[in-house]
Amino acid sequence: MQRFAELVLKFRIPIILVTGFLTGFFGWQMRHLRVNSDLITYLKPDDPAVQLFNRIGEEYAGTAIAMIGLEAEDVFEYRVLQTVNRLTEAIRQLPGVASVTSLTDVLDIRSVDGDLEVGRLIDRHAIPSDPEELRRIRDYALSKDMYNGRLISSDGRITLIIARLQQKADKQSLAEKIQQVAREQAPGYRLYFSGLPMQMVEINDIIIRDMVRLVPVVVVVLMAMLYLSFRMLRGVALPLLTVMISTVWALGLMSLLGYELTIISNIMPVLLIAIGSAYGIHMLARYHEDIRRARIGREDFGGRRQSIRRSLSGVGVAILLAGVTTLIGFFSFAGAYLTSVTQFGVFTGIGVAFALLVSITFVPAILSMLPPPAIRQTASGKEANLLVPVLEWVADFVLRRERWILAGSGIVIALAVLGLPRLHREVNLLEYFPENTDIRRAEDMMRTHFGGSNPIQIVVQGDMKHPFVLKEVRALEMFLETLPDVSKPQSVADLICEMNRVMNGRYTVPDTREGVANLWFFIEGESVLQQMVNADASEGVIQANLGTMEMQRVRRVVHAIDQYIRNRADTVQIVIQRDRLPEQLWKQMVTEQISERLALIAARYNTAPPDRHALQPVLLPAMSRSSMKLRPELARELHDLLKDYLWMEAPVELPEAAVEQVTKRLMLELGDGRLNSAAEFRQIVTRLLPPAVQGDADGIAETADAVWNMYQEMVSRERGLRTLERLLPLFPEALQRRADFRDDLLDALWLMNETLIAVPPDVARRAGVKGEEVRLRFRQSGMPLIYTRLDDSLLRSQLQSLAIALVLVTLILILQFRSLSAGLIAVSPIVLTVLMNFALMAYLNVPLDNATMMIASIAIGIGIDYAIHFTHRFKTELGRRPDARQALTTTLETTGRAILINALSVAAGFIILIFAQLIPIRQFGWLTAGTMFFSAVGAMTFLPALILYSGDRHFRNRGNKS
Amino acid sequence: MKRNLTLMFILGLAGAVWAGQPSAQDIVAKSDSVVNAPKDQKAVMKMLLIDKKGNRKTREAMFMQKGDDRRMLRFTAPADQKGIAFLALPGDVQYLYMPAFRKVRRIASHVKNSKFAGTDFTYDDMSTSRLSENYQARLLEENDRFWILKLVPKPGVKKDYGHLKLWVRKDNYYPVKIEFYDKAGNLWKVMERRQVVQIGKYWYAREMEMRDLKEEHATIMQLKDVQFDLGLSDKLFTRRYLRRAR
Repeated sequence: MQRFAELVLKFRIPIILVTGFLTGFFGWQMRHLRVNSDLITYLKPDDPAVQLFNRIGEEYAGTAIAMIGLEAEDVFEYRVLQTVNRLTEAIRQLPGVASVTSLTDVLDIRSVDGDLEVGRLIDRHAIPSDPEELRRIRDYALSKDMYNGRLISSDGRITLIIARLQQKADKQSLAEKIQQVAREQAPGYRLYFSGLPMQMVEINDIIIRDMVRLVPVVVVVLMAMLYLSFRMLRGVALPLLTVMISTVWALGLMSLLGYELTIISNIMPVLLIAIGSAYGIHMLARYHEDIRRARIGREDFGGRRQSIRRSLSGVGVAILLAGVTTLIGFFSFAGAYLTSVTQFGVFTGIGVAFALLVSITFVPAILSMLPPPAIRQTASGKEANLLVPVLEWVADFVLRRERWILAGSGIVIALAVLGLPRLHREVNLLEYFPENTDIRRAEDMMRTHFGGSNPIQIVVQGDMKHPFVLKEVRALEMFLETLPDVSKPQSVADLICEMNRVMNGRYTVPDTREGVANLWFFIEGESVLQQMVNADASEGVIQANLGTMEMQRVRRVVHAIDQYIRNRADTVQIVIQRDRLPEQLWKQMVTEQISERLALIAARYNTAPPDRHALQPVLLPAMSRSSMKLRPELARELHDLLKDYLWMEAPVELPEAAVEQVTKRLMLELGDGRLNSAAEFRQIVTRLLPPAVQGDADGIAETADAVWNMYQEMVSRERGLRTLERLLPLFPEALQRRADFRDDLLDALWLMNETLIAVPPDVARRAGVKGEEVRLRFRQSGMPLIYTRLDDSLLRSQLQSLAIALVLVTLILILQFRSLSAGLIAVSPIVLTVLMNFALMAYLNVPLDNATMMIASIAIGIGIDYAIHFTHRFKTELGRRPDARQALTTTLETTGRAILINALSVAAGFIILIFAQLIPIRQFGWLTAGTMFFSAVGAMTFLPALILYSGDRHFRNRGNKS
Repeated sequence: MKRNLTLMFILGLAGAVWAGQPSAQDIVAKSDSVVNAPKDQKAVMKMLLIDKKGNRKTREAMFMQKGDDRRMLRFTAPADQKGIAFLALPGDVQYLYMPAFRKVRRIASHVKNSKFAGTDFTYDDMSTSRLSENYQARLLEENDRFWILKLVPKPGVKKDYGHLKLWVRKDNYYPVKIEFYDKAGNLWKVMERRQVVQIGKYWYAREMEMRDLKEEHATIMQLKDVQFDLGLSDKLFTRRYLRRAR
């Protein structure tokens, strides 16, 4: 170290020049530095879950969804809809926007005069202005699940404009642009911005606002504290300069290497202030101490250079050691799950290294240029400083009452350990923001009116045009609806069901491939389809909303979905014609499937599902009858259908007068429900038709078949209604009256009417029946899953790095002192500090989240410095005089002083952060302040007490010379 | 005969030139009648759908048209769409038949601007159309080969498009290219008729492409086995026939 000190002094001018140059250079590099708050880019790209997530983002534009909520007295006013339309079109034009959905551009599936119609809810080229028409649209939109709670709030006051962003787009700046467009296009409206991209903008704004507002205050407070401690300008300037230079270098290097700041590494400058200032402070304190001692002892201090050399060689090793251990603390973040955490660790570590380097080169070089400080002294020869009497008192107390201190520490440790179980883990990203912030208001609104803003995605791998794949998708969606906090599952299966409902009166997936394909025809090419299935329909996405950000609840949902996928979803099914299965087996399977479906419906309406045994007598009677007497309304409907068919569509052309008559007679034949086969009916039809058309045998057969099919459809409906009447009494009375509940039950009962049935492979095998094998696979994805992953791995990597840092630091200390016990003693205040930190959180109900977790690492980084400086000095002093108490007194009054200055000034600086907007930053601020305080107190009370108690022999003689 | 017709045509053209420039509206009307000249026609239509990633899908249909206002399309491929049939009748009446449900469905007027079967053609585009009936034309420029006209919807005619730009060949009045602009004046879709050939007295394009620039999606329609003037019966263009899958 001596030689190093010589070198520093010899090259002091080049050192200053190079430092100046490098600072200029890196400062210039910093101009490129930008903040990247796109959480998705932080994730490790080789994690399969992340790959899936990114692929969904790329192929379905489904992961980055920016939403604008627009509030008005009534959304369904011409003026408001015009605004929505303008906004929709303007956002659509922005590069990077994949698609926009809003009231003025949304797929609508409806029935017009009984005909299925797929179009737009509102024609954006002809927005209606007639109040009557608008009221009709309003009533219609609010009556449909597709819009109510998805695009409009149920009170009709808020409407969403949903923009899906391309995966490769710069989501944050795009979200900013969208906000800007929204403010321009919709002035005077209350706007809400929600969804991940919007949140990014907000988080970033808040963080930057916090930093810009608070960091200067932190610096000023730090400066004031330093001035109070050193009572001279250089005492303020040099530590501060150290921090600034190292921060500029670290950030400049980051920018030079093409890295961006992240939400996590945003905190780097503040951290470097806390940690980096220590090195300068210690260097300066030692220098002053040496000068003072030289003056008191009237020794020849051999000029500035001499004393700087002495100070540097005296404290240099300690600084170096302290720096290296802190560095380790941060480098141990490398390899964390989040690339941003790794970056943060590495670059903060590098920043620390820079601070260290500057403190032992640039600072002494500057010091050597300055005249030796005039240190005011009291009559007794001690330095006039507020801290001095305090330190003396502390030294006095600690050294006389070491057992008290140890006993006290024991109690504190016991209390801390007792409190640890109360430490709870809770991450709720939303609660990071104070309640009055826009983001909280937007999210609250989203949760109240739209079931939340976090999309859950489940990928379906399988033939998305296959009815039984779609049926499994529907089943999963019904399960999703039963989960707490989950709402509005949506997939192509819902579009198919909705079209089937309009066309055939039931919200089910048709059981034939052709049925699905015919419906699909209507939505072919619709942009909404691109969000739901891939180009060849071999994969699809189910999306649902998650209404919570509370990690515990998110985790519950993610877990429940995983469980369902693993245990309950049928991945291989055999689809069989119902008449190929033995009658008994078919009945059993259908009963089972209906029962499963009823259980899901019951869960959705918060009621108990009917007992399986009670179900059989309900289902069986109507299940297998192919012919039934129709209730009057069905008979009437059939009559009208028949008449229209015979008049316009039947291959046999009847004279107008005959149509009504033939219809009546057909109805008479079908009405009593005694006919059992199409063949029987065909004969009747042949007999019934007027002689004029008798020649066309093909036409007659075709007509008979068509009519029979219409009749069968009615019989199926009759079957459902009859069974429903028997089923309803199994449910609470209040539910029985609800039309939506009855419809849901009817849809479940429709399984009785289907001609195809899917059974598990072993059932088919046992029955000896072959059928079509249908395979599919579900995979969960979406931000909630990623959140839980992120959360797990953040916690894991932080605990891991904490452990690594502790072990490495202990090893280094053991090596430094060449003594196991000395190493352990030196490291003990840090363990104490970490413990205290956690205990404080436990007792003050601060949850362990990703920000507060980081404090433990800081505690190590900083705490270790104190312990090292202290033990190092103590060892040196012990070399000078044999009395441990005297050596400790000197250590406390000299190094102790520097520690106290460091701790108090940084703590005072950090406490300022409680004025931050972001709650984790507030907590981070006061917890760090507390940690600084604890580590200083620990180093100055517990550590000397422990040394005294355990005897000083561990520190004697064996260590290497500084 | 063929030569005679061509001669007459040329003479007609010459006459037009001699009589001075035909009016813009005349050019469009003339080109409408060139496109819809056959009494009836029947062909195999192949549709190629190309999305922005270059994924291709094909559809195949049997196509029939009578006069300029009756049109029928019956899908033959892909398998799951087989039998779906589309019928366009005079007076903007359109039907769709869905074989899986044995149901004929009428297409309401306001969905006619939605896409037809995933193509870039709307239901409106799929029914026969006479541009001259719906649009007011103005000549923008002309060169040796084309008249280039701007078409604006006539008052009271509701269209998705703000205006069209139409390229009409001078030699045979065949409209070879249409640019569709949205109401804000941005180019939205481009339709091109390619491989314009003559069979008998009729001109037709073997290939027609519609490109949607906003959605970066394109549809190419190719006609094969084209036959003209077969004497197709009116009965083929009815709901009754629509249902009878052949």
